[in-house]
Amino acid sequence: MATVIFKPTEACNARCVYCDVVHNEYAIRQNMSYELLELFFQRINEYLLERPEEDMVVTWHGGEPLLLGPAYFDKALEFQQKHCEKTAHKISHQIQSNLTLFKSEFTPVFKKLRITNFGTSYDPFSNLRGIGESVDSVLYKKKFIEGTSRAEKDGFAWGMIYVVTKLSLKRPLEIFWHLVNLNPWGSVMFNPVYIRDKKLSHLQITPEEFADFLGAIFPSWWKNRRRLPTVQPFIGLEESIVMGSPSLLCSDAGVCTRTHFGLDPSGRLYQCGRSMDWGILDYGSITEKKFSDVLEDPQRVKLRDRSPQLAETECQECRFWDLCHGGCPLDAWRTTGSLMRRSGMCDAKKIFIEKYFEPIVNGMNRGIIVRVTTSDSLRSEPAKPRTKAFHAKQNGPMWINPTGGIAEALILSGVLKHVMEKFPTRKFNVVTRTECDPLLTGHPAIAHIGHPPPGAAFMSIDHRYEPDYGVSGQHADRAYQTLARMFSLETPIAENLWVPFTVEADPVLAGFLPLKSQNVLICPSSDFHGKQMSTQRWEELVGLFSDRDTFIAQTGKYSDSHVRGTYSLLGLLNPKELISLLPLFDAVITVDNFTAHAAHLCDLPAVVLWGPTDHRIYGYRGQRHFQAAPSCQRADGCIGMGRGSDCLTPCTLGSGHCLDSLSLKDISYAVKDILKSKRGTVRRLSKKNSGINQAV
Amino acid sequence: MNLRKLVCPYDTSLIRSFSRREIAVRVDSPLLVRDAADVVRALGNNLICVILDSTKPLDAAPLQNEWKGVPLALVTASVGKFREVVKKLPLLRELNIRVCLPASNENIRDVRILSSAGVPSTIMINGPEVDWDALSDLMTYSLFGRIPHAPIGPFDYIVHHYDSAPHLCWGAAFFEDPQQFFHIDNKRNVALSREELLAEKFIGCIDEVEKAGSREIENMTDAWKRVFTEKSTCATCAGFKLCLGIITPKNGQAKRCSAFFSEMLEALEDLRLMREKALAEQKTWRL
Repeated sequence: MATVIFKPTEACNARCVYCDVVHNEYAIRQNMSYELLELFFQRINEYLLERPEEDMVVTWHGGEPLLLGPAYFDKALEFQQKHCEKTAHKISHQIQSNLTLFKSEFTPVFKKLRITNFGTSYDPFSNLRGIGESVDSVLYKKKFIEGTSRAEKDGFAWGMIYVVTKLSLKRPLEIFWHLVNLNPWGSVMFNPVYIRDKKLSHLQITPEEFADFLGAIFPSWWKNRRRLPTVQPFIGLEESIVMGSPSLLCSDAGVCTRTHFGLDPSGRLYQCGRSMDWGILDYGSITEKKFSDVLEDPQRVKLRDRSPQLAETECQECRFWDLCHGGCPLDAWRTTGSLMRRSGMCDAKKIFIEKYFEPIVNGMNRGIIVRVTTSDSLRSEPAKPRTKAFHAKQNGPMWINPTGGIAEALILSGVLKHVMEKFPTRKFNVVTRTECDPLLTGHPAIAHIGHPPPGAAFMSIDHRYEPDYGVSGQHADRAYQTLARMFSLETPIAENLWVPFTVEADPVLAGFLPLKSQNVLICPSSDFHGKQMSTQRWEELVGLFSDRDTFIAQTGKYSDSHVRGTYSLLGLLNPKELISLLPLFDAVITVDNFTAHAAHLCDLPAVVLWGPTDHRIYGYRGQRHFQAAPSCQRADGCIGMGRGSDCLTPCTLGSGHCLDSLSLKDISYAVKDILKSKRGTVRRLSKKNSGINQAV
Repeated sequence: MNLRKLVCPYDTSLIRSFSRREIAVRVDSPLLVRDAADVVRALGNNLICVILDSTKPLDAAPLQNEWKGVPLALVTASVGKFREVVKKLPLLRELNIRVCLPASNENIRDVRILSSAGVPSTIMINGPEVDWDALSDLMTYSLFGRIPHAPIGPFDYIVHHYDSAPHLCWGAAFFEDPQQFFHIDNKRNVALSREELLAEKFIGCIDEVEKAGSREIENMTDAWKRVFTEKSTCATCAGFKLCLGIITPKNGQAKRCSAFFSEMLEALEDLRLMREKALAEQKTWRL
């Protein structure tokens, strides 16, 4: 599809400060004549007859095209009907206008030209856009709002471009919300300002500044994107990167030499609208040249070598090549003096993706990373492997929402310790959770535990969403390893649980507990009923190894059933206190719960009973695992994503529950075995927690 | 043409002048409720509801058995003593009633109790002087509360009409939306809100307004755009899509109403996605 940027006038009612047209001393002050307008449609028809497979987009541009008045558009329609009888259905019209002059008088002819939407520009705060020589921005805003309202009432959609200048950098979110609150029926697009006039260099922004501007907005957009208008470049990147359906603008597609050209009021043909404004890449007059000649102009043909050259040179190592193709050649010319170089604004895209887009998108849609797969790659050799980028350098630390229970908080703490060792400057904020806070408070990788502000950037740590999480055949991808990869740590990694405090026996507890020569702690408790063994079975188990020399205590929640024959600590200990209690014991018997992880943290021998969950994912080497075979008919098991409602109900099989099928004798043998080879309580009492656990 | 619903006083001759219109009729005495409903229906109009402006709190309202079958909006200042309301609960549950209360702290609390007791209600938010945190809790209860409870307005109205694309004028939950409601006086004059009716700020006679249209309606419908040309903090608020600048916060209060409306928008999106998911799941056959 060919696109012609059609400027029948370069006059404008506005005097936007950074506009290349209105301040151009060589701008053409006269509108395109009707003769040239008629020739324009003849050329379109000629082109479409020559290339029957093609369509043509006519983008009315300026200046301000509405200054032409409805009669001019009537004339254009007349010429189209006259000269494009067989090709009119292949012509589509678009219009770029500031809309301040829009009136319903335009509506009939626009409808006949099948114009359905307006592209426009707006700036709510700075006084850079304004009407007349005085650049009256107040009047501009008023007229703009009136124009868009009128356009909506007449059934037109409209979208807008916001030009990011130095003045925009202080209030990105205010600008963003202002623009989307206008509720345009089309898209909102953020473009960096391109300044050629040195007098305006104070408005110029760097690629880093543009990336940071977008980055300040992106979390809010991402979070609310389903209810917001389309916002570029975010939606384009989401479509290209996340959805794998590339959606590139003319500046990024790398094919503008095949698709775009421009026509000015005097009939001169150019590469595009921007080249027209800047007076370069002039391809001659419409009176002499057919459009097909323009598309095969030697300058354009030469420019087509740009993409393959960049792919082999400057952009060879760039994993974002297929997202920008070196950027706009005109912008490259502006900054480097060469059309064949890459655009400096490529850096903005790269910085934005790496610094803002990937950390958020990767954090929320696990497993999605930048894999560039556009069909239009001009690279002549296979692309270099793309590395998984995930090193957030936000303005503030990224927020972590500690999903799961306190056991997951313990794993998180261990993984964050690794992160801290590898990336010492990297910090995170953590959403406060009553249960988890005591385990994470004071962690050196955590800057703050609390409530995230609106629009905060989040990283999900729900490893269960990871595609490689779980057991597949003989391979088990353990929770700790999966979580470590989510933080860009290389795996396998030592599974060292860690807490930001010293683990030592609580002297108060040690003083009042009637400890004996052998001490066993049991913990039958789990929030998930399917992970529990029946109280009756626990009582039978306790009976199998209970003797006068063995003290058996039970820990868990206040609401748990008491296992007779044990000393009840139910409801008395918070997680931190439980950890402090463990060094007093010689062995732990537990189901898959926090106590199993805490025992690993404290290097305490443990017998762990597993039912619907798999010890290969959550269990630790060195612990003695008893895994029940599934006894139910539920092919998808009773625990996992989307089955949260099962958590609160007991297993429907009653006495046939998988965990109740475990051999109590075998478990008691394992306990006795541990007690026989009892390791000294005294040794553990003085042991500090400093990465004490064995590696996987 | 979009024929507006009418909010009009109980005046038989006025109501008789309308035919096949949707009418909410306003009365100020409990004794008139049944009569007003019967008159609107008998004269060939469609009764939206009877609006009873009660000077007494709910506990003292003389609820009557004969109101059964009458859609009733009981506008009152407060609930009163619950020990009295409890005695009326059996009848309240049998009536087609919605208790409308201003958004005071006590009422926000009481509406929740009424709702859990099975009595529909509406909190009328019409200014920034609201405990937004309490209102946020009420909204969460209304939209996500798992235990059975009666609907709470305007949240139930909003969730029922919410669409992520256009702006939503939820003032309609209290009959305040010029696109939907005209407030009429005995002389057939039209006001665009209850407040303008009481201030006798009319835009014309209903016959003329409906025939020729009105610039005032357009202005009021587009009123939300004013914040973009005035220097209003509402223009940059993340919750604007729902608030539309109706709640004009005083200095320093903007963050609180903004947080409320932002949170509600998030809740609405969550509910919308849940509904879409449920619809998708319905495509699968089931026994």
